[in-house]
Amino acid sequence: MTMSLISLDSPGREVLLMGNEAIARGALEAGISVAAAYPGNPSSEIIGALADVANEMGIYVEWSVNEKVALEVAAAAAVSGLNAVVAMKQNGLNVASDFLLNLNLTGIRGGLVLVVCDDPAGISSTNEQDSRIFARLADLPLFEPSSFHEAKDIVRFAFEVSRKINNVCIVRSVTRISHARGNVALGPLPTTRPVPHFDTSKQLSSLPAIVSHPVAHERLKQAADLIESSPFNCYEGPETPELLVITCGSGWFFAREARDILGLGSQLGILKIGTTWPMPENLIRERLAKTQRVLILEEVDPVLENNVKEIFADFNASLPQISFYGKKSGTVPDSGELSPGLVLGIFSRLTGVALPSPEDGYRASASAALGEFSPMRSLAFCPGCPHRASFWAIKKALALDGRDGVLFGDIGCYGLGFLPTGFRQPKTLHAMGSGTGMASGFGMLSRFGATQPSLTVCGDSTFFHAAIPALVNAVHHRSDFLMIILDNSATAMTGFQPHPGSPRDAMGSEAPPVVIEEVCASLGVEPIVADPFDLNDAAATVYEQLQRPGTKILILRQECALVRGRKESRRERIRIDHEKCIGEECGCNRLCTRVFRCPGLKWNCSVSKAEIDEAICVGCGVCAQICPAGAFVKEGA
Amino acid sequence: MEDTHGLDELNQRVLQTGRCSSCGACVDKCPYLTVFHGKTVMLDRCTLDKGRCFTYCPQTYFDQEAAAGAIFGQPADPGPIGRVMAVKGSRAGDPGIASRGQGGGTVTALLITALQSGLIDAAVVTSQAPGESFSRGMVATAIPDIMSCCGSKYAGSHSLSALKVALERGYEKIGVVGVPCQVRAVRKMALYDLRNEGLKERISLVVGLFCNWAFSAREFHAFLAARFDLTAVTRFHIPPPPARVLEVETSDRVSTIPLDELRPVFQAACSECSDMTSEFADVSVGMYEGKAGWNTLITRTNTGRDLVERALSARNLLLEDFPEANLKHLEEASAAKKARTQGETLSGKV
Repeated sequence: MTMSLISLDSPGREVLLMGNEAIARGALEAGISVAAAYPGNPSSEIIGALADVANEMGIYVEWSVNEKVALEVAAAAAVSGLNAVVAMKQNGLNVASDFLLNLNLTGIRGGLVLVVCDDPAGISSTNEQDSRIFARLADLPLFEPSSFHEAKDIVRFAFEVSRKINNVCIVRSVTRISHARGNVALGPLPTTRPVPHFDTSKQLSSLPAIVSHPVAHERLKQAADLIESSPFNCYEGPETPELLVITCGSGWFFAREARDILGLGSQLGILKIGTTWPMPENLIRERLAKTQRVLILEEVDPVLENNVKEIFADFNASLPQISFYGKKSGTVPDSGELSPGLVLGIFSRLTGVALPSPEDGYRASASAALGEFSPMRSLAFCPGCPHRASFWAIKKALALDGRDGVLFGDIGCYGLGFLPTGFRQPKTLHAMGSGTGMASGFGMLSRFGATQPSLTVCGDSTFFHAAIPALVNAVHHRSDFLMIILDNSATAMTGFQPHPGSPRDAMGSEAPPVVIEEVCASLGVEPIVADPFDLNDAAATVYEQLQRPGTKILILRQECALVRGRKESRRERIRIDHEKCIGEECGCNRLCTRVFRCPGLKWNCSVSKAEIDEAICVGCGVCAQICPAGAFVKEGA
Repeated sequence: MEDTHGLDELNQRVLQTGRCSSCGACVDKCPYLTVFHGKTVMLDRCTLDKGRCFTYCPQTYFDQEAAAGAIFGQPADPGPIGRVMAVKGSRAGDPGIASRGQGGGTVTALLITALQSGLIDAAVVTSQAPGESFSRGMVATAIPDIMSCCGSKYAGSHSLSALKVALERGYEKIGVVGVPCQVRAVRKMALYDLRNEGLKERISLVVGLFCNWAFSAREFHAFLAARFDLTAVTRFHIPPPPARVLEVETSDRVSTIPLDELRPVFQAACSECSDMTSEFADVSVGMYEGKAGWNTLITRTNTGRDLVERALSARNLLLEDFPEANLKHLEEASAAKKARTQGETLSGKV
C-alpha cells in the first residue's frame, strides 16, 4: 500500500488529493475519534481513506452494516463528547433518515458531521436525488464545498459549528467534487482527543417533540449567525453586475470557467454559497440589491433557487425588480450534472456573447483520440464475473420452468443484471433489500390466482444491509419464494470493502465473520449452496428450488473475479479452436459474443470467428460450458 | 423454397401458439432450443433469419409436391392414405418379438431386418427407459437396442433429437421411425439440408407410424403421476375403437382410463394434423383393427418394398392379405382426420 497523504503531519504543505480524501483530511484535522459508513459511490473513499490511516491516527473506523447503523455508531461517539464523521451516498441518507430525524431533536454533545455524496445523473446509482432537502427537513445546517481544498476546510468548519450548536451538520458533496483531484493545503492535526463520557445525569430524548422541535429551530438560528460571515460564501465580480450568478458546489467551477472563456468578467458576478442551509441571508440580500438579473446555477433540484427566491420575497420591498433564471425558467436543466459546455451555453444565451468557435477539426480529432483508448462496450459485468454465470443459470431455470417466473432485483454489481450483461433477468430494481421484500410480497399472491414463481437475487453485503428483516417477514408469513444470495464475498460494486460476513474489519483486524448460512438456518430456512460456475448444476438447482413450496434460500457462491484476480493468477488459459467455431452459422449464431457477452470474448469480423481477449480473460472457463461447438479449449494457466 | 425463417418466427408461429408436436426436429441443434420435461423450450433468441429449426419443423411450410417428387418420383397422391404400393396385414416372424411389440411387432421386425441386411447402420427410435418419466430419442445400432424400444409411447417424445446424435457419430445409413409429423420433418431435412450434412443420402429409411393424436408429454406425465406410481408402469395401450380407453399396465394389473378424461392432455398440434398414416414414409405401420397381434403395413416406396422383401425372405416378417373392408375403413378414418383439419398443416398454413 502506498503511503497515505491524508495523515501527513506537515501543516501548510500542498498535496494532490481526491475530493473524498480532502473530506477525510478535514475530519482528521477536526480531531475525529470515530468514522463509520456503509460504502456507496461516490462517497466510498472517505471512510476508505480513514480506514487506511486508522491505526496510525489512533481513530476507530468501521464499515457498518448499513447507513442507519453507521450514523448510530457515530452518534454514540458524538453524544459522548467526541467528534465523529459518517459518510454515505444519497440513497444511504434515506436509510439513515429515520434516526437522523430523531437525532436532530435530541442534539449531541460533541461534534458530528454527516457527509452525503450525491450522484447527479445517477452515474453509479439507481436514482438521482437531491439530499439537500434533508437539511431543511431535519433543521440541520448544510455545507456544500466547491473545490477540493474547500472540501477539507468546510468539513473542519462544519465540526466547529456542530460542536457550538450541539447538533449534526450535513456536508453535501457531488461526484465531481468527490471523485476529482486537486491541490489541498494541509492544516494542523490535533494532538489530543477527549476521553468519551456520557453524562447520565441528562437524558437524550426527543420527547415531547413539541418541546424538542423548537430547540432544534433555535440551534439552527445559532448556526445562521455562525455561517453568515464564513469564508465559504464569497462574491467575485463587478459591484453592480448585469447578471448575478448564484451558485454552489461544482457549479462554481463551471461558472468561473465559462465566465473566463466568454470574457464576461466586467458584466457578470459570481456569488458562491458554501453554507446553503440556513442561507447567509444578509449577504444574499446585499447582492440582490445590486442587480436586476439573477441566474441560479446548481445541480439536481432548485434548492438554492427556492431559498434565494424566498429571501427575495421576504425583502422585496427593499429590493429591485429581478428576473430570475434557473430551473423554474427552464434555463438550467432540472436533472443531471452541470458541465462547462452546458454553463457556457447558458451564459452565452443570457448575455448575448457568442460562443467561441472550436478550432477546425477539433471535435473529430478529439473523438478519434478518445476512440484509441476506449473500446465500444456497454455497461457490463467484468470478465469472469460470477454474476454473469448466475444470471445465465437463472435464465435457463426460468425458461425450463416455463411459468413466467418473476425475478425481483436488488442493489449491487448484480443490479447490472438488468442490462444485457445479466440477460435482463431482474424485472425490478429499487433499493437495498427491496428485492427480498417484494419477492416475499409477490410470493403471497397465489391466493388470488397468481401462478408465476417469485424469486429474488441479493448480494452478500445487501443481505446484511437490509434483506434480513424482509427475510424474517417472509419466513413468518410463509411466503412462497426463492431468495438467491449471490455471494461473491465482497462489497464489490463500491470497491471490495469488508462486510459483516468478512473475516477482517475496516481497520484490517481479524473479525468474526457472520455466516449467511447460519443466519438463514436460525430463521428456519436451511440454504442450499451451489457454484454458479457449474452452469448446468446451478440451473438445475435453481429449477429444483423453484418447484418447492415455501421460503427457499439458494446461495450461489463464487468469489468476485477482481478480488480473486488480486490474489492469484489466471485460473486457466482459454483458447478458441477456429476449426470448430461455427460462428454465425445456424447452430450457434455467436452465442458467446452475442448472448453470453463476457468482455473477455471478442468477435473477429474479418474471419467470422470468436476470439479470447488475452489481456482481460481471467480463465474462469464458463464460456467453455456454453459453446455449442466445443470450440473453447482449456490449456491450464 | 418459400417461407423460410428462423427461431423468432418458429417461436411466434409454433411454440407460442401450442402448435409444437414435440417431434424433436429443432432441438439440441443449437443452444437456443432444448427439451425439458416433455416440452420444447426456447432459452434465448437467436435472430438468424433462416434456420434449421423453422425450416425442418413439420408444422411450418411443407412442399408436398417437392417431397413426393423426391421420395416417390411422382406427384403426391391426393387419396386419403397417400401413395400406396401395397397394403398388407403383418406381424413379426419371431413370436417373441410379436408379443413384445405393439400389435404384431412389425416395426421391430423391419428394423432388425434393415440392420441385419445392411440397409441401415443405425436407427433413430423412441425409448422409454425404466424409471424415466419421459420418452426420448435413441440411436439403436444393435438388436437389443431395438428390442428395448418396443411399444407405443403415445406421447410427444422429441425423438428426432437423436438423429443429430446419429449424424454426429458419423452413421451414413440411418433409419428413422416416427409418427407422421416426424416423417414430414425428416423429409424436409432431406429436401433442404441447410448445413449440407448429406441428409438426403444419409437418411436411408423412414418407417412411419399411424397416428391420430398424441398426448402432450408434460401434462400427460402430471396426469399419470396423480394416479399411478410411475415407476411401476410397464406399458400403455390404446385398443382399437370402440373401446376409447387408455390401458395402463403396471406390475400387478391393467387399469383403464376413458380417453375423454385424457382429452385435456392431448397435444393441440395434433388437432391440426391431417396425416394419419405417415403418407411420406417408405413404409407405414399401424394397428390392424379387429385382429389382435397383427399390424397394418403400407408399402409406399421402392426402399420400403425392398425392406419388406428382405424381411420376408429372412422370415423376420409374416404377411397376409388385407381385407377390402379393412382398407375401406382405414381410408375412411384417414379421410375423417383430413376432414377435421381441412388439410391445414400439410398445405402449410402455420
